[in-house]
Order: sequence, then structure tokens, then C-alpha cells
Amino acid sequence: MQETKAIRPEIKGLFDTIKQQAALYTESFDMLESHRESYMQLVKEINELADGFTLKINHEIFNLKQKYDSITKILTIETNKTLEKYSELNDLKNLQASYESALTNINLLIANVEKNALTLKRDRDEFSREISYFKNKVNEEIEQIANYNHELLKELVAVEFAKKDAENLSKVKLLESRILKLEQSLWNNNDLVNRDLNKIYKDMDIFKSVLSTMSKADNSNYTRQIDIIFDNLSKLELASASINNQLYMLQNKINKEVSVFDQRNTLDTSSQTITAFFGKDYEQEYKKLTNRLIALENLCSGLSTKNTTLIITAYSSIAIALLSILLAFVL
Amino acid sequence: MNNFEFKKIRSIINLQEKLQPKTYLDNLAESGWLDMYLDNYSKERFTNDKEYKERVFESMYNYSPEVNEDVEIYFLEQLCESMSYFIEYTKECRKQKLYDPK
Repeated sequence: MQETKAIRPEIKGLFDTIKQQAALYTESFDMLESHRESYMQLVKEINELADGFTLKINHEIFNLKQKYDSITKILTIETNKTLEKYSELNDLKNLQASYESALTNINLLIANVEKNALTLKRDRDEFSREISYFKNKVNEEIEQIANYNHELLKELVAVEFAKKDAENLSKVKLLESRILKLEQSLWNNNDLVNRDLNKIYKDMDIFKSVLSTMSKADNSNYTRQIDIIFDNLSKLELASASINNQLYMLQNKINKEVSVFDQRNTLDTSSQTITAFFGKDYEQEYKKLTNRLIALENLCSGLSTKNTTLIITAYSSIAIALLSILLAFVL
Repeated sequence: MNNFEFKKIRSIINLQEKLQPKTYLDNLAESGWLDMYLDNYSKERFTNDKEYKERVFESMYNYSPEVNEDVEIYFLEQLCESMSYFIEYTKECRKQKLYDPK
């Protein structure tokens, strides 16, 4: 290609310098491009390495986290254990301090006890001396008081015994008189009943003789009435026999009570004196005896009323029988 | 575009230039009548058709027998444009160079 003439050589020189610089720039850009490519490659490798490292670091971080968690758990457990041990040690320390203070107190108390033991030993000797002296004195006093009281008691017992004996004698006499009265009344009643029964028997014999004379008439009504009368009489006889039996039993009971009373009166004098002196057993026995006597009296009175009622019924039945006989004769 | 590709394109352009036949515009530029031709016959096309304008100045540059200020201005403008593009293109590099710790 030929050289141009349209442009001045200064401008051409400018273009040439620019051309050279462009070539230089091209080389530098090529170099830059190659460097950039190598840089990009390096960056890529670095990125790959970074990715690998990131992955590895993440893995390691995860492992570390797991280890951290496990270590944290272990540490917390160990910390709790150490805290517990620390608290136990604190408690033990406090306990040791309290034991030490207690030991010092015990030592002080032992010293005090030793002192007090010495003083007590001294006091005990003095006290034993005083006690022996007091014992002797008290024995003497007690002996004197016992002698005085013994004599006083003897006198009192004698007086009371005399009083109670007198009372007992008077009461026994009263009881005997009462029993005699009751016996007399019983036997009187018995005699009355027997007398009345004898009278009735006699009347019945008379009546029987009358009936034998009237046997000719031989009326059935009469014979029936007479049978009824005989039945009533037999009942009366049975009643009188039972009354006699009861009277006999009453007599036996009275005799037994009297014998028991006599036995009580003849008991040991020492026990009687004691009961007379203290007054309880004797009064109870006396009350029992009086109650028994009252019961016997009531029984006797009941028997007497029974006897009277039986006698009244017997008399009334006899009167009715006689009236019926008379009416039979009249008719 | 790497260096190898750039060299290949460059050689192809050189071959095209060697094989290029001489046009009427080249003949007019060689004879010194091209300015008059443009003023009288193809002024409108010269102003509107950019490719045509390039071809005209190419012919002037290659075959003009004397200095032509329009060609100079045109190529200087082209140069300015390229330089401004270059400056704009290398602006980031220069900025980075400014912040280079070395």
C-alpha cells in the first residue's frame, strides 16, 4: 500500500504513535486478559477451595457444635455434681464447725461437771453426815410418837370397844325380845287356827251324824251339797297343814338367824375391836342383820294375815253350808 | 476477542484490501475532482449515507495527491471518538489503578 498524501505528516506521526501505543495497549491488554484468566482460574480454584473449606468448616462446625453440646451437657452435669459436692462440703464444714463448737462446749461442761462433782462429793459427805444425824433424831422422835400413839390407841380402842359392846348387848336384847314376841304371836295364831279347826271338825262330826240320820231321805241334791262341803273342808285342812308347814319353816329360819347372830357375836375380839374402832364393817353387818329381821317381821305379818283370811273363808263356807242345810230342812 | 482472533480478522481485512478493485471514487480522488463531484452531484447522499461517506473519505485517504483538511478532520474525529471510547472503556482500569495499594 502506498503512502497517503491526504494527511499531513504531523498527523500521520500522531496516528503512528497512537498505533504503537495501541499495539502496546493490545499487548498489555492481552497480558491483562491472560492474567485475568489466570486470576479467574485462581479465583475459581479459590472458590472451589472455599466451597470445600466451607463444607469442611461447616462439617467441622457441626461436629464442634455437637461436641460443644455434649461437652456443655457434661459440663453442666459435672457442674451440678460439683455444686452438690460443694454444698455437701459446705454442710460438712458447717457440721464440723458445729461439732467443734459442741466439743468446746462439752469440754467446758466436763470441766464444770468435774468441779460440780467435787462440790457434790463434798456436799454428799456433809449430807450423809446430816442425814445420819437427822435419821437418829427422827428415829427417836418417831419412837416417842409411836409409843404415845400406841398408848392413846389402846385407850381409845378400849373405850370404843366398851361402848360398842354395850350397844351390841342392848341391840341383841331388843332383837331377842322382838323375836320372842314374834314367836309368841305365831304360836298364838297357830293355836287359834288349830282351835278353830278342832271346832270345825267337831261341827262336821255333828253334821255327819245328822246326815247319817237323814240318809233315809237320800236326796241327790243334799248329797251333792254335802260333797261340796266335804271338799271345802278337805281344802281347809290342806290350807291349815300348809300354814303349819310355813310356821315350822319360819321357826327354823328364826333359829338359824339367831345362831348366825350368836356366831357373829362370838368372832375374834381383835377384828371386832378394829371394826368397832374404824366403824365400817361392823355397821354393814349390823344393817344386814336389821334388814333380815325386818324381812322376817314382814313375813310373819303376811302369814298372820293369810291365816286370818283362811279362817274367815273357812267360817264363811261353814256358815253357807249350815244355811243351805237349814234351807233344805225348811223346804 | 482474544489475540489470535484479532490477528486472524486483521489478516482477512488486509487480504480484502489487496483484492479490492479501484472504484470511480478512487479515480476521482486521484484526479482531484472528488470535492467538486460531491458538491455538485452527491451532496445529499454524502451527508445522509454514512457508509458512502466512509467510502469517500477512504478513497480520499488512499488516492488524494495533496493534503485535504476534511480528511484530516474526519480521521481526527474518528480518532477522537475512538480515544474517547478507549478512555471510557479503560475508565474502570484507571480507577482500580488509582485504588491500587502498591
